[in-house]
Amino acid sequence: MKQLVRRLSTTLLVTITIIAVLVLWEVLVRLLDIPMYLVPPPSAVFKETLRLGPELLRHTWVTFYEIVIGFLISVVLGVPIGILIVYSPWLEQVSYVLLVISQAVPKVALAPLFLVWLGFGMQTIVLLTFLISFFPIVVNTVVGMRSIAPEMLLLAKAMKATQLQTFAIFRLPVALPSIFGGLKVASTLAVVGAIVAEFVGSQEGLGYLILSANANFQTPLAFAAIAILSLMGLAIFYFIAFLENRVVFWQRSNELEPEAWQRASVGVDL
Amino acid sequence: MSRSNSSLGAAVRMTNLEKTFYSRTGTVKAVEDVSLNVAAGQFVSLLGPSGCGKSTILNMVAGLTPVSGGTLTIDDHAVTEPLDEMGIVFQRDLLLEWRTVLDNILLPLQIKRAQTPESLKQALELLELVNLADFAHCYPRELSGGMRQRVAICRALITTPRLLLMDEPFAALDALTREQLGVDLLRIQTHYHPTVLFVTHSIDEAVLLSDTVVVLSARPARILATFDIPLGKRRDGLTRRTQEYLNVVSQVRAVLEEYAQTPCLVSSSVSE
Ligand SMILES: Nc1ncnc2c1ncn2[C@@H]1O[C@H](COP(=O)(O)OP(=O)(O)OP(=O)(O)O)[C@@H](O)[C@H]1O
Ligand SMILES: [Mg+2]
Repeated sequence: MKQLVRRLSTTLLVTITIIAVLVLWEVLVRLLDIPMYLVPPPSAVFKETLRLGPELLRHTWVTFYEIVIGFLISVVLGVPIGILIVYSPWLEQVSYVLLVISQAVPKVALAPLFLVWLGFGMQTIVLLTFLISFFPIVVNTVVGMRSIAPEMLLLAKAMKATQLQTFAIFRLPVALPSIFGGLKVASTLAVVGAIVAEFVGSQEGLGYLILSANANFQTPLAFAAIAILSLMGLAIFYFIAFLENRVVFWQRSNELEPEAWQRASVGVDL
Repeated sequence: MSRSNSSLGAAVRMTNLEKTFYSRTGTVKAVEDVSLNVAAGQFVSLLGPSGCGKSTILNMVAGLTPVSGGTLTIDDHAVTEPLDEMGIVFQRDLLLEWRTVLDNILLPLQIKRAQTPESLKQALELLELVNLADFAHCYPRELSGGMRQRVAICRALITTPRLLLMDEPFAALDALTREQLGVDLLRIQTHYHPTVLFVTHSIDEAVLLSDTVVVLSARPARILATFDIPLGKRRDGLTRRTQEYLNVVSQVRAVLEEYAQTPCLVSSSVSE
């Protein structure tokens, strides 16, 4: 109950802050008479959003789709590769070095090349999104898998757990918090990757929209696209955080509920 | 209690046991020429300075670390892998945070695919034995350190082990909890009669709980002295006030102090 109140009041505080910033922005733009093509007032951005609703929605969907596909591919490949790296000394030596080297290449710089190789379109954007979000997932999986206490592995051995059991019962759950940390970082990077890729080679999506709006001095539209993009990034991030709370329930960031404490302290007989 | 008739503990026999670790930084001789017989059902403590090789001895008995020299047998079989009917408790409770207390206790059976409808009842009986019956469905994070360690002990006992290995199981606990758990442990032993090999830094604890206390030298571990503790089987917190108890404690302390002053002097086995 107390927690619910606290959470509600946090939400309220955040909402009020955002509204205050928007109002201040509106007032400043009007008072200082800043031209629309430099900084539009929030009201103009909002109007533009409504006017171009269906069009915006289409571009939003395209970008969302690219982000999700690119991100999912990096999850589906990144987590198993991270696990394999921990289990295979050979892979560890070869692939880890390769990964780090590949990480040194700024992937955004590869975007024009991919365009040449794969052509104009979604496949190029998805590939770049995947490449950018892949690395943190692999690294966090490796770190998580390694974070198991040596005694825990001794315990597994003493219980005569098979390799598979040791993985499924001990190592994977221990690694999950770290893996989710990687997923959260990767999700924000995936958004960046998709937008940059769209800048370089796309005729649709929010990244394309921002560029073309800028070129035509439709600054309110650019702002609208940026706002939608931010909201999308937030939504994806919080969706993963929500999953994390469900899956890694034993590491929930909030403290013990008071009832649990009471239950735990009763019956300690000294 | 409806247990199989495995009331016989395992007999552990070490003869000229040796352990040398080879690593990049060089070789470390951790255990040297340790010969020790632990009869079935005995409670034997290993006492010695930090880093002397106590855990190493325990891990060799557990089948977790290979032996470098000498022989090590359990019931006359050379140790090559962990004994099936073995329970082990470490200094850290190593509970799985994502499993309830009950599921943590049942873990060894699940791993061995030996869980039966009876198992649940046995787990609850064990919890009863350590006064945690109400916490079966809690998660470890809801328990105190002492309660968690009691769960770890239950987990070690669920397979009705004939050999119970404990590596400083109470070291992270406060003195009162520690004594309480020690007495709990004795009560458990009279129920199940496993052989117990118990590593500790505490002279008091070793004397209070053991049939035999083995005092080890600094690394490499050698046996300095062996004490048979003449306190009978029934012991509790009050035992600490008896004259016999105080006598033995001061004898053990004397050996350790003498050794601390002249480490090269190895006194021969003193048996009571
Ligand atoms: N895997 C290993 N590789 C190399 N050296 C090791 C290894 N395990 C233990 N040792 C060394 O063997 C010696 C004995 O270690 P051990 O853990 O048995 O000591 P201990 O008596 O249990 O100490 P403590 O009371 O502090 O737990 C130490 O000097 C340690 O450095
Ligand atoms: Mg140790």
